[in-house]
Amino acid sequence: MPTPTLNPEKIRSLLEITFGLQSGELRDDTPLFSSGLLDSFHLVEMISVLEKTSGRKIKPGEINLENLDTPDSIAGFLGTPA
Amino acid sequence: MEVTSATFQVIDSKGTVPAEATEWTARVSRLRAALRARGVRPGDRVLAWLPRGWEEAALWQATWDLGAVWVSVPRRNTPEQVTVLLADAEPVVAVCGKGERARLTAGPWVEFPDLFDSSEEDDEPVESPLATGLAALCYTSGSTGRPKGVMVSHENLRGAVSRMETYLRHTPEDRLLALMPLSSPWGLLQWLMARRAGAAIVLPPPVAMASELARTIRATGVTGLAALPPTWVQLVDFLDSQREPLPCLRYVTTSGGVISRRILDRFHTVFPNAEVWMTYGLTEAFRTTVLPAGEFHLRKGSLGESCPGVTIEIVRPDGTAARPGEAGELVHVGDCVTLGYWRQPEMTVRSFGVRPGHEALFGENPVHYSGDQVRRDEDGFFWFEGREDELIKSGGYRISPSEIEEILQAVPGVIHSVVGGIPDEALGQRIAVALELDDEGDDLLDQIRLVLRQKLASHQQPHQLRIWPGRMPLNAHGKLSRPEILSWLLASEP
Repeated sequence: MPTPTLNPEKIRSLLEITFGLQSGELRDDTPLFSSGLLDSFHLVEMISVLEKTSGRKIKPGEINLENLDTPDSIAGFLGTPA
Repeated sequence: MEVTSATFQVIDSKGTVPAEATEWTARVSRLRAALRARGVRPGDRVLAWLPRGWEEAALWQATWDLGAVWVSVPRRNTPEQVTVLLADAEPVVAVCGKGERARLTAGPWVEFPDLFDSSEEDDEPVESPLATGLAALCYTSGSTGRPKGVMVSHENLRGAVSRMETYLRHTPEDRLLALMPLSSPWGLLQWLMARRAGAAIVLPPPVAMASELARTIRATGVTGLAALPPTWVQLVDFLDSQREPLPCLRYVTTSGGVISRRILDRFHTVFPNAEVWMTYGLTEAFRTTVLPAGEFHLRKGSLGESCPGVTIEIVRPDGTAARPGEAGELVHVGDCVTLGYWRQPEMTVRSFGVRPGHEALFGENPVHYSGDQVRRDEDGFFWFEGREDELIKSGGYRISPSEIEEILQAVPGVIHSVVGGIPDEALGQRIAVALELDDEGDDLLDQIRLVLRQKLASHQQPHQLRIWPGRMPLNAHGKLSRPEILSWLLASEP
Protein backbone atom coordinates (compact mmCIF):
# COMPACT_ATOMS: atom_id res chain seq x y z
CA MET A 1 0.00 0.00 0.00
CA PRO A 2 1.49 3.35 -0.94
CA THR A 3 2.03 5.66 2.03
CA PRO A 4 -0.04 8.83 1.90
CA THR A 5 2.00 11.88 0.96
CA LEU A 6 2.52 14.27 3.81
CA ASN A 7 2.31 17.79 2.48
CA PRO A 8 3.51 20.80 4.49
CA GLU A 9 -0.03 21.57 5.58
CA LYS A 10 -0.51 18.10 7.07
CA ILE A 11 2.89 18.32 8.75
CA ARG A 12 1.92 21.66 10.29
CA SER A 13 -1.29 20.37 11.81
CA LEU A 14 0.43 17.18 12.94
CA LEU A 15 3.08 19.19 14.80
CA GLU A 16 0.53 21.62 16.21
CA ILE A 17 -1.44 18.75 17.69
CA THR A 18 1.63 16.86 18.92
CA PHE A 19 3.16 19.84 20.67
CA GLY A 20 -0.06 21.51 21.81
CA LEU A 21 0.48 24.58 19.65
CA GLN A 22 -2.38 26.86 18.66
CA SER A 23 -3.94 25.89 15.36
CA GLY A 24 -2.37 28.09 12.68
CA GLU A 25 0.64 28.95 14.83
CA LEU A 26 3.04 27.37 12.33
CA ARG A 27 3.73 28.44 8.76
CA ASP A 28 5.30 26.27 6.08
CA ASP A 29 8.62 28.03 6.59
CA THR A 30 8.57 28.42 10.39
CA PRO A 31 11.98 27.38 11.73
CA LEU A 32 11.22 24.83 14.42
CA PHE A 33 14.58 24.08 16.02
CA SER A 34 16.95 26.83 14.93
CA SER A 35 14.45 29.36 16.34
CA GLY A 36 14.30 27.61 19.70
CA LEU A 37 10.56 26.89 19.33
CA LEU A 38 11.29 23.17 19.74
CA ASP A 39 14.24 21.62 21.58
CA SER A 40 16.00 18.27 21.74
CA PHE A 41 13.23 16.74 23.86
CA HIS A 42 10.68 17.68 21.23
CA LEU A 43 12.95 16.23 18.55
CA VAL A 44 12.75 12.70 19.96
CA GLU A 45 8.96 12.98 20.02
CA MET A 46 8.79 14.46 16.53
CA ILE A 47 10.85 11.66 15.00
CA SER A 48 8.58 9.03 16.48
CA VAL A 49 5.41 10.81 15.32
CA LEU A 50 6.78 11.30 11.80
CA GLU A 51 7.83 7.66 11.58
CA LYS A 52 4.42 6.48 12.75
CA THR A 53 2.53 8.75 10.36
CA SER A 54 4.67 8.29 7.28
CA GLY A 55 5.54 4.64 7.77
CA ARG A 56 9.11 5.56 6.86
CA LYS A 57 12.03 4.85 9.16
CA ILE A 58 14.16 7.96 9.75
CA LYS A 59 17.84 7.08 9.93
CA PRO A 60 20.14 8.75 12.46
CA GLY A 61 22.15 10.31 9.60
CA GLU A 62 18.99 11.97 8.26
CA ILE A 63 18.25 13.83 11.47
CA ASN A 64 19.64 17.25 10.68
CA LEU A 65 18.47 20.82 10.29
CA GLU A 66 18.36 20.61 6.48
CA ASN A 67 15.73 17.87 6.67
CA LEU A 68 13.76 18.80 9.75
CA ASP A 69 13.86 22.51 10.54
CA THR A 70 10.63 23.61 8.82
CA PRO A 71 7.30 21.97 7.85
CA ASP A 72 8.35 22.55 4.24
CA SER A 73 11.69 20.79 4.59
CA ILE A 74 10.10 17.92 6.53
CA ALA A 75 7.55 17.38 3.75
CA GLY A 76 10.29 17.51 1.11
CA PHE A 77 12.46 15.10 3.04
CA LEU A 78 9.66 12.58 3.69
CA GLY A 79 8.69 12.80 0.03
CA THR A 80 12.06 11.39 -1.03
CA PRO A 81 12.50 7.60 -1.04
CA ALA A 82 14.14 6.12 2.10
CA MET B 1 39.32 29.34 42.27
CA GLU B 2 37.76 32.76 41.67
CA VAL B 3 40.73 33.58 39.49
CA THR B 4 40.17 33.50 35.75
CA SER B 5 43.29 32.45 33.89
CA ALA B 6 44.44 34.79 31.12
CA THR B 7 44.10 32.12 28.45
CA PHE B 8 40.42 31.45 29.24
CA GLN B 9 38.18 32.17 26.28
CA VAL B 10 34.69 31.62 24.95
CA ILE B 11 34.17 30.32 21.42
CA ASP B 12 30.85 30.10 19.59
CA SER B 13 29.61 26.98 17.84
CA LYS B 14 31.05 28.10 14.50
CA GLY B 15 34.52 28.45 15.98
CA THR B 16 34.76 32.23 16.24
CA VAL B 17 35.23 34.24 19.40
CA PRO B 18 32.23 36.54 19.97
CA ALA B 19 33.53 40.12 20.06
CA GLU B 20 31.89 40.78 23.40
CA ALA B 21 33.55 37.80 24.99
CA THR B 22 37.04 39.05 24.15
CA GLU B 23 36.59 41.72 26.79
CA TRP B 24 35.53 39.18 29.38
CA THR B 25 36.94 40.89 32.44
CA ALA B 26 35.63 44.31 31.45
CA ARG B 27 32.19 42.90 30.68
CA VAL B 28 32.00 41.12 34.01
CA SER B 29 33.11 44.30 35.75
CA ARG B 30 30.35 46.33 34.10
CA LEU B 31 27.76 43.71 35.02
CA ARG B 32 29.03 43.82 38.58
CA ALA B 33 28.58 47.59 38.63
CA ALA B 34 25.06 47.22 37.19
CA LEU B 35 24.07 44.65 39.81
CA ARG B 36 25.53 46.75 42.62
CA ALA B 37 23.63 49.79 41.34
CA ARG B 38 20.42 47.75 41.50
CA GLY B 39 21.06 46.98 45.14
CA VAL B 40 22.53 43.48 44.99
CA ARG B 41 24.41 42.65 48.21
CA PRO B 42 26.07 39.49 49.50
CA GLY B 43 23.48 36.75 50.02
CA ASP B 44 20.91 38.36 47.68
CA ARG B 45 19.65 36.27 44.79
CA VAL B 46 20.18 37.12 41.14
CA LEU B 47 17.88 35.16 38.84
CA ALA B 48 18.51 34.57 35.14
CA TRP B 49 16.22 33.22 32.43
CA LEU B 50 18.50 33.56 29.42
CA PRO B 51 19.48 31.64 26.31
CA ARG B 52 22.74 29.73 26.49
CA GLY B 53 25.69 32.03 25.85
CA TRP B 54 28.55 34.13 27.19
CA GLU B 55 26.01 36.65 28.51
CA GLU B 56 24.59 34.25 31.07
CA ALA B 57 28.04 33.05 32.14
CA ALA B 58 29.34 36.60 32.58
CA LEU B 59 26.29 37.52 34.66
CA TRP B 60 26.89 34.47 36.81
CA GLN B 61 30.49 35.47 37.41
CA ALA B 62 29.45 39.01 38.36
CA THR B 63 26.92 37.54 40.80
CA TRP B 64 29.60 35.30 42.31
CA ASP B 65 32.05 38.20 42.65
CA LEU B 66 29.48 40.13 44.70
CA GLY B 67 28.93 37.20 47.06
CA ALA B 68 25.35 36.99 45.78
CA VAL B 69 23.45 33.78 45.05
CA TRP B 70 22.98 32.57 41.47
CA VAL B 71 19.62 31.21 40.31
CA SER B 72 19.38 30.16 36.68
CA VAL B 73 16.01 29.01 35.42
CA PRO B 74 16.23 26.41 32.64
CA ARG B 75 15.43 28.01 29.33
CA ARG B 76 12.82 25.37 28.46
CA ASN B 77 10.69 26.33 31.46
CA THR B 78 7.48 28.13 30.59
CA PRO B 79 6.88 31.74 31.74
CA GLU B 80 4.41 30.34 34.27
CA GLN B 81 7.09 28.08 35.77
CA VAL B 82 9.52 30.99 35.79
CA THR B 83 7.02 32.92 37.90
CA VAL B 84 6.83 30.11 40.44
CA LEU B 85 10.61 30.05 40.86
CA LEU B 86 10.76 33.84 41.00
CA ALA B 87 8.35 33.85 43.93
CA ASP B 88 10.34 31.12 45.67
CA ALA B 89 13.82 32.58 45.19
CA GLU B 90 12.84 36.24 45.74
CA PRO B 91 15.69 37.70 43.74
CA VAL B 92 16.72 41.35 43.96
CA VAL B 93 17.35 41.33 40.22
CA ALA B 94 15.90 38.99 37.57
CA VAL B 95 17.39 39.03 34.08
CA CYS B 96 15.69 37.94 30.85
CA GLY B 97 16.56 38.25 27.17
CA LYS B 98 15.94 41.21 24.91
CA GLY B 99 12.24 41.83 24.29
CA GLU B 100 11.11 39.18 26.76
CA ARG B 101 10.02 41.27 29.69
CA ALA B 102 6.47 41.65 28.38
CA ARG B 103 5.96 37.86 28.48
CA LEU B 104 6.74 37.71 32.18
CA THR B 105 4.70 38.69 35.20
CA ALA B 106 5.70 41.33 37.71
CA GLY B 107 9.09 41.11 39.32
CA PRO B 108 12.46 42.88 39.35
CA TRP B 109 12.95 42.04 35.66
CA VAL B 110 15.58 43.69 33.54
CA GLU B 111 16.44 42.74 29.96
CA PHE B 112 20.08 41.73 29.63
CA PRO B 113 21.21 44.50 27.22
CA ASP B 114 19.81 47.13 29.62
CA LEU B 115 22.37 46.07 32.21
CA PHE B 116 24.92 47.82 30.00
CA ASP B 117 23.05 51.15 30.02
CA SER B 118 25.81 52.65 32.07
CA SER B 119 29.33 52.11 30.79
CA GLU B 120 30.82 52.31 34.25
CA GLU B 121 33.14 49.57 35.37
CA ASP B 122 33.18 48.34 38.93
CA ASP B 123 36.10 49.69 40.94
CA GLU B 124 35.15 48.30 44.33
CA PRO B 125 37.08 45.34 45.68
CA VAL B 126 35.75 41.88 44.92
CA GLU B 127 35.14 39.94 48.08
CA SER B 128 36.28 36.37 48.40
CA PRO B 129 33.13 34.40 49.21
CA LEU B 130 33.04 32.40 52.42
CA ALA B 131 33.58 28.71 51.87
CA THR B 132 30.29 27.76 53.45
CA GLY B 133 28.44 30.68 51.90
CA LEU B 134 25.65 30.03 49.45
CA ALA B 135 26.77 30.15 45.81
CA ALA B 136 23.65 29.04 43.95
CA LEU B 137 20.14 27.65 44.14
CA CYS B 138 19.77 24.78 41.68
CA TYR B 139 16.12 23.87 41.21
CA THR B 140 15.07 20.26 40.86
CA SER B 141 11.78 18.36 40.87
CA GLY B 142 10.58 16.88 44.12
CA SER B 143 8.11 14.11 44.81
CA THR B 144 5.50 16.64 45.96
CA GLY B 145 5.47 18.39 42.63
CA ARG B 146 6.77 21.64 44.02
CA PRO B 147 10.25 22.54 42.69
CA LYS B 148 12.96 22.60 45.32
CA GLY B 149 15.93 24.96 45.29
CA VAL B 150 19.01 22.98 46.27
CA MET B 151 21.33 25.26 48.24
CA VAL B 152 24.81 24.86 46.74
CA SER B 153 27.72 26.31 48.72
CA HIS B 154 31.07 27.58 47.48
CA GLU B 155 32.65 24.73 49.37
CA ASN B 156 30.44 22.20 47.52
CA LEU B 157 31.61 23.59 44.18
CA ARG B 158 35.25 23.86 45.22
CA GLY B 159 35.24 20.25 46.42
CA ALA B 160 33.69 19.00 43.20
CA VAL B 161 36.16 20.91 41.03
CA SER B 162 39.12 19.36 42.82
CA ARG B 163 37.57 15.88 42.61
CA MET B 164 36.90 16.23 38.90
CA GLU B 165 40.30 17.72 38.13
CA THR B 166 42.00 14.59 39.51
CA TYR B 167 40.75 12.71 36.45
CA LEU B 168 39.80 15.32 33.82
CA ARG B 169 43.13 17.23 34.23
CA HIS B 170 42.29 20.27 32.10
CA THR B 171 45.02 22.34 30.45
CA PRO B 172 44.92 25.60 28.43
CA GLU B 173 44.77 23.44 25.27
CA ASP B 174 41.36 22.04 26.23
CA ARG B 175 38.07 23.06 24.68
CA LEU B 176 34.95 22.10 26.62
CA LEU B 177 31.55 22.00 24.94
CA ALA B 178 29.14 23.73 27.35
CA LEU B 179 26.07 21.52 26.90
CA MET B 180 25.28 21.49 30.61
CA PRO B 181 23.09 24.43 31.62
CA LEU B 182 24.10 26.97 34.27
CA SER B 183 20.99 25.94 36.21
CA SER B 184 22.76 22.70 37.16
CA PRO B 185 25.86 22.20 39.31
CA TRP B 186 27.58 20.44 36.43
CA GLY B 187 27.14 23.46 34.17
CA LEU B 188 28.66 25.71 36.82
CA LEU B 189 31.56 23.30 37.34
CA GLN B 190 32.42 23.20 33.63
CA TRP B 191 32.87 26.98 33.52
CA LEU B 192 34.77 27.02 36.81
CA MET B 193 37.18 24.36 35.57
CA ALA B 194 37.68 26.08 32.22
CA ARG B 195 38.33 29.46 33.85
CA ARG B 196 40.76 28.01 36.34
CA ALA B 197 42.69 25.96 33.77
CA GLY B 198 42.64 28.74 31.18
CA ALA B 199 40.84 26.41 28.78
CA ALA B 200 38.17 27.44 26.26
CA ILE B 201 34.43 27.04 26.57
CA VAL B 202 32.69 26.22 23.28
CA LEU B 203 29.06 27.35 23.19
CA PRO B 204 26.66 24.70 21.92
CA PRO B 205 24.81 25.07 18.60
CA PRO B 206 21.28 26.51 18.90
CA VAL B 207 19.80 23.04 18.64
CA ALA B 208 21.32 19.98 20.28
CA MET B 209 20.68 17.70 17.28
CA ALA B 210 23.37 15.05 16.92
CA SER B 211 24.30 16.29 13.43
CA GLU B 212 24.76 19.85 14.71
CA LEU B 213 26.70 18.72 17.78
CA ALA B 214 29.06 16.65 15.65
CA ARG B 215 29.57 19.60 13.30
CA THR B 216 30.40 21.94 16.19
CA ILE B 217 32.72 19.46 17.90
CA ARG B 218 34.62 18.92 14.66
CA ALA B 219 34.70 22.57 13.60
CA THR B 220 35.96 23.86 16.93
CA GLY B 221 38.12 20.91 17.97
CA VAL B 222 36.30 20.17 21.22
CA THR B 223 38.47 18.02 23.51
CA GLY B 224 36.10 17.43 26.42
CA LEU B 225 32.45 16.47 26.21
CA ALA B 226 30.07 16.06 29.15
CA ALA B 227 26.48 15.06 28.42
CA LEU B 228 23.40 13.24 29.67
CA PRO B 229 22.13 9.87 28.38
CA PRO B 230 19.75 11.09 25.62
CA THR B 231 22.58 12.99 23.95
CA TRP B 232 24.84 9.94 23.99
CA VAL B 233 22.19 7.75 22.37
CA GLN B 234 21.58 10.24 19.56
CA LEU B 235 25.22 11.16 19.05
CA VAL B 236 26.57 7.60 19.03
CA ASP B 237 23.84 6.41 16.63
CA PHE B 238 24.49 9.36 14.35
CA LEU B 239 28.29 9.09 14.28
CA ASP B 240 28.18 5.33 13.83
CA SER B 241 25.71 5.52 10.94
CA GLN B 242 27.81 8.18 9.21
CA ARG B 243 31.04 6.27 9.91
CA GLU B 244 32.43 9.57 11.13
CA PRO B 245 34.20 9.25 14.46
CA LEU B 246 35.27 12.29 16.49
CA PRO B 247 39.02 11.88 17.03
CA CYS B 248 39.45 15.34 18.58
CA LEU B 249 37.77 14.33 21.83
CA ARG B 250 40.27 13.62 24.61
CA TYR B 251 37.60 12.61 27.10
CA VAL B 252 33.87 12.03 27.34
CA THR B 253 32.06 11.99 30.65
CA THR B 254 28.50 11.14 31.47
CA SER B 255 26.03 11.02 34.31
CA GLY B 256 22.31 11.24 34.90
CA GLY B 257 21.10 7.72 34.36
CA VAL B 258 21.66 4.35 32.83
CA ILE B 259 22.89 4.11 29.24
CA SER B 260 22.17 0.91 27.33
CA ARG B 261 24.97 -1.54 26.50
CA ARG B 262 24.18 -1.17 22.80
CA ILE B 263 25.35 2.45 23.02
CA LEU B 264 28.22 1.97 25.50
CA ASP B 265 29.71 -0.80 23.35
CA ARG B 266 30.27 1.67 20.51
CA PHE B 267 31.84 4.51 22.52
CA HIS B 268 35.35 3.54 21.46
CA THR B 269 34.40 3.29 17.78
CA VAL B 270 32.97 6.79 17.59
CA PHE B 271 35.26 8.44 20.18
CA PRO B 272 38.49 6.62 19.28
CA ASN B 273 40.86 8.80 21.33
CA ALA B 274 38.65 9.52 24.28
CA GLU B 275 38.92 8.32 27.83
CA VAL B 276 35.44 7.47 29.14
CA TRP B 277 34.59 8.68 32.64
CA MET B 278 31.21 7.45 33.85
CA THR B 279 30.01 9.26 36.95
CA TYR B 280 27.12 9.52 39.37
CA GLY B 281 25.76 12.35 41.44
CA LEU B 282 22.63 14.27 42.32
CA THR B 283 21.91 17.97 42.50
CA GLU B 284 21.95 17.49 46.29
CA ALA B 285 25.41 15.85 46.27
CA PHE B 286 27.08 16.15 42.91
CA ARG B 287 29.92 14.46 41.01
CA THR B 288 30.69 12.07 43.83
CA THR B 289 31.63 8.84 42.06
CA VAL B 290 33.66 8.01 38.99
CA LEU B 291 34.39 4.85 37.07
CA PRO B 292 38.07 5.09 36.12
CA ALA B 293 38.52 5.15 32.34
CA GLY B 294 40.71 2.05 32.57
CA GLU B 295 37.83 0.13 34.16
CA PHE B 296 35.22 1.12 31.58
CA HIS B 297 35.50 -2.09 29.56
CA LEU B 298 35.46 -4.31 32.62
CA ARG B 299 32.60 -2.64 34.48
CA LYS B 300 30.38 -1.05 31.83
CA GLY B 301 27.20 0.26 33.43
CA SER B 302 28.70 0.72 36.90
CA LEU B 303 28.30 4.08 38.65
CA GLY B 304 31.98 3.89 39.59
CA GLU B 305 33.60 4.18 43.01
CA SER B 306 33.61 7.02 45.55
CA CYS B 307 35.83 9.94 44.54
CA PRO B 308 38.70 10.72 46.92
CA GLY B 309 37.36 12.59 49.95
CA VAL B 310 33.75 11.48 49.40
CA THR B 311 31.97 9.19 51.84
CA ILE B 312 29.09 7.11 50.53
CA GLU B 313 27.19 4.57 52.60
CA ILE B 314 24.72 1.97 51.37
CA VAL B 315 22.22 1.61 54.19
CA ARG B 316 19.43 -0.73 55.16
CA PRO B 317 16.16 0.78 56.40
CA ASP B 318 17.19 -0.01 60.01
CA GLY B 319 20.26 2.18 59.73
CA THR B 320 22.92 -0.51 59.49
CA ALA B 321 25.33 -0.68 56.59
CA ALA B 322 24.50 -3.09 53.78
CA ARG B 323 26.97 -5.88 53.05
CA PRO B 324 28.86 -5.91 49.73
CA GLY B 325 26.50 -7.11 47.04
CA GLU B 326 23.41 -6.20 49.05
CA ALA B 327 21.18 -3.40 47.73
CA GLY B 328 20.31 -0.49 50.00
CA GLU B 329 19.74 3.25 49.83
CA LEU B 330 22.72 5.32 48.76
CA VAL B 331 23.52 8.05 51.30
CA HIS B 332 26.11 10.80 50.82
CA VAL B 333 27.96 11.87 53.96
CA GLY B 334 30.13 14.91 54.73
CA ASP B 335 31.30 17.97 52.79
CA CYS B 336 29.95 16.83 49.43
CA VAL B 337 26.40 17.27 50.76
CA THR B 338 24.68 20.55 49.83
CA LEU B 339 23.00 22.76 52.43
CA GLY B 340 19.41 21.58 51.98
CA TYR B 341 16.34 22.92 50.19
CA TRP B 342 15.80 26.68 50.10
CA ARG B 343 13.10 27.72 52.58
CA GLN B 344 11.67 24.19 52.81
CA PRO B 345 12.60 22.97 56.29
CA GLU B 346 10.27 19.94 56.27
CA MET B 347 11.50 18.62 52.97
CA THR B 348 15.06 19.33 54.03
CA VAL B 349 14.65 17.24 57.18
CA ARG B 350 13.11 14.43 55.15
CA SER B 351 16.10 14.11 52.80
CA PHE B 352 18.96 15.73 54.75
CA GLY B 353 18.08 14.70 58.32
CA VAL B 354 19.64 11.63 59.92
CA ARG B 355 16.77 9.16 60.31
CA PRO B 356 15.93 7.62 63.69
CA GLY B 357 18.12 4.57 64.22
CA HIS B 358 20.77 5.85 61.80
CA GLU B 359 22.68 7.94 64.36
CA ALA B 360 25.27 5.27 65.03
CA LEU B 361 26.30 5.21 61.37
CA PHE B 362 26.21 8.95 60.59
CA GLY B 363 26.63 10.76 63.91
CA GLU B 364 26.44 14.53 63.42
CA ASN B 365 27.68 14.52 59.84
CA PRO B 366 25.75 16.20 57.03
CA VAL B 367 23.92 13.52 55.06
CA HIS B 368 21.66 13.26 52.04
CA TYR B 369 19.42 10.26 51.39
CA SER B 370 19.37 9.78 47.62
CA GLY B 371 16.26 7.62 47.23
CA ASP B 372 18.36 5.50 44.85
CA GLN B 373 18.66 1.78 45.53
CA VAL B 374 22.29 0.85 44.89
CA ARG B 375 24.61 -2.05 45.69
CA ARG B 376 28.36 -1.93 46.21
CA ASP B 377 30.27 -4.90 44.84
CA GLU B 378 33.24 -6.63 46.53
CA ASP B 379 35.68 -4.23 44.81
CA GLY B 380 33.87 -1.08 45.94
CA PHE B 381 32.08 -0.26 42.67
CA PHE B 382 28.46 0.92 42.79
CA TRP B 383 25.63 -0.45 40.64
CA PHE B 384 22.22 1.17 40.25
CA GLU B 385 19.23 -1.03 41.19
CA GLY B 386 16.20 1.27 41.12
CA ARG B 387 14.28 4.13 42.74
CA GLU B 388 12.42 4.04 46.05
CA ASP B 389 9.82 6.63 45.14
CA GLU B 390 7.63 7.30 42.12
CA LEU B 391 9.89 9.94 40.58
CA ILE B 392 10.44 9.38 36.88
CA LYS B 393 13.94 9.79 35.48
CA SER B 394 13.61 10.93 31.88
CA GLY B 395 16.31 12.42 29.73
CA GLY B 396 18.55 12.90 32.76
CA TYR B 397 15.90 14.93 34.58
CA ARG B 398 13.84 14.00 37.61
CA ILE B 399 10.17 14.33 36.78
CA SER B 400 7.50 14.48 39.44
CA PRO B 401 4.33 12.51 38.54
CA SER B 402 2.30 14.56 41.02
CA GLU B 403 3.33 17.84 39.40
CA ILE B 404 1.88 16.61 36.10
CA GLU B 405 -1.16 15.03 37.77
CA GLU B 406 -2.03 18.28 39.56
CA ILE B 407 -2.12 20.09 36.24
CA LEU B 408 -4.21 17.38 34.60
CA GLN B 409 -6.71 17.33 37.47
CA ALA B 410 -7.35 21.02 36.94
CA VAL B 411 -8.52 20.48 33.34
CA PRO B 412 -12.34 20.36 33.18
CA GLY B 413 -13.39 16.90 31.98
CA VAL B 414 -10.48 15.04 33.60
CA ILE B 415 -11.80 12.83 36.39
CA HIS B 416 -8.60 11.00 37.34
CA SER B 417 -5.04 10.86 36.07
CA VAL B 418 -2.05 8.67 36.87
CA VAL B 419 1.42 9.45 35.54
CA GLY B 420 4.16 6.84 35.34
CA GLY B 421 7.47 6.00 33.69
CA ILE B 422 7.89 3.44 30.93
CA PRO B 423 11.36 2.08 30.05
CA ASP B 424 12.91 3.79 27.04
CA GLU B 425 16.37 3.40 25.56
CA ALA B 426 16.96 7.01 24.61
CA LEU B 427 15.41 8.70 27.63
CA GLY B 428 15.76 6.09 30.37
CA GLN B 429 12.04 6.43 30.95
CA ARG B 430 9.21 7.86 28.92
CA ILE B 431 6.35 9.69 30.61
CA ALA B 432 2.99 7.97 30.19
CA VAL B 433 -0.40 9.15 31.39
CA ALA B 434 -3.58 7.18 32.10
CA LEU B 435 -6.69 9.33 32.06
CA GLU B 436 -10.27 8.84 33.12
CA LEU B 437 -12.35 11.40 31.26
CA ASP B 438 -16.01 12.31 31.47
CA ASP B 439 -16.15 12.57 27.70
CA GLU B 440 -14.12 10.69 25.11
CA GLY B 441 -13.90 13.49 22.57
CA ASP B 442 -10.67 14.23 20.73
CA ASP B 443 -11.32 17.88 21.52
CA LEU B 444 -10.71 17.20 25.19
CA LEU B 445 -7.41 15.43 24.44
CA ASP B 446 -6.31 18.38 22.31
CA GLN B 447 -7.27 20.71 25.13
CA ILE B 448 -5.25 18.62 27.59
CA ARG B 449 -2.18 18.73 25.33
CA LEU B 450 -2.49 22.49 25.03
CA VAL B 451 -2.66 22.94 28.80
CA LEU B 452 0.33 20.65 29.34
CA ARG B 453 2.40 22.63 26.90
CA GLN B 454 1.48 25.92 28.55
CA LYS B 455 2.26 24.72 32.05
CA LEU B 456 5.16 22.29 31.71
CA ALA B 457 8.66 22.39 30.26
CA SER B 458 9.49 20.20 27.26
CA HIS B 459 11.32 17.55 29.27
CA GLN B 460 8.20 17.15 31.44
CA GLN B 461 5.81 16.65 28.50
CA PRO B 462 4.08 13.25 28.57
CA HIS B 463 4.91 11.06 25.60
CA GLN B 464 1.70 9.06 25.78
CA LEU B 465 -1.83 9.95 26.82
CA ARG B 466 -4.03 6.88 27.23
CA ILE B 467 -7.68 6.78 28.14
CA TRP B 468 -8.63 4.20 30.74
CA PRO B 469 -11.66 2.24 29.58
CA GLY B 470 -14.47 3.01 32.04
CA ARG B 471 -13.83 3.78 35.71
CA MET B 472 -10.36 3.56 37.25
CA PRO B 473 -10.01 0.94 40.02
CA LEU B 474 -9.90 2.06 43.66
CA ASN B 475 -8.13 0.36 46.55
CA ALA B 476 -9.57 -0.48 49.98
CA HIS B 477 -9.01 3.08 51.17
CA GLY B 478 -11.02 4.47 48.27
CA LYS B 479 -7.90 5.84 46.60
CA LEU B 480 -6.81 5.14 43.04
CA SER B 481 -5.10 1.79 42.72
CA ARG B 482 -1.90 3.20 41.24
CA PRO B 483 0.02 -0.09 40.87
CA GLU B 484 -2.78 -1.60 38.77
CA ILE B 485 -3.04 1.51 36.59
CA LEU B 486 0.73 1.75 36.16
CA SER B 487 0.99 -1.89 35.06
CA TRP B 488 -1.81 -1.27 32.56
CA LEU B 489 0.22 1.63 31.15
CA LEU B 490 3.26 -0.64 30.84
CA ALA B 491 1.23 -3.42 29.22
CA SER B 492 -0.56 -1.15 26.74
CA GLU B 493 2.79 -0.07 25.28
CA PRO B 494 2.57 -0.13 21.46
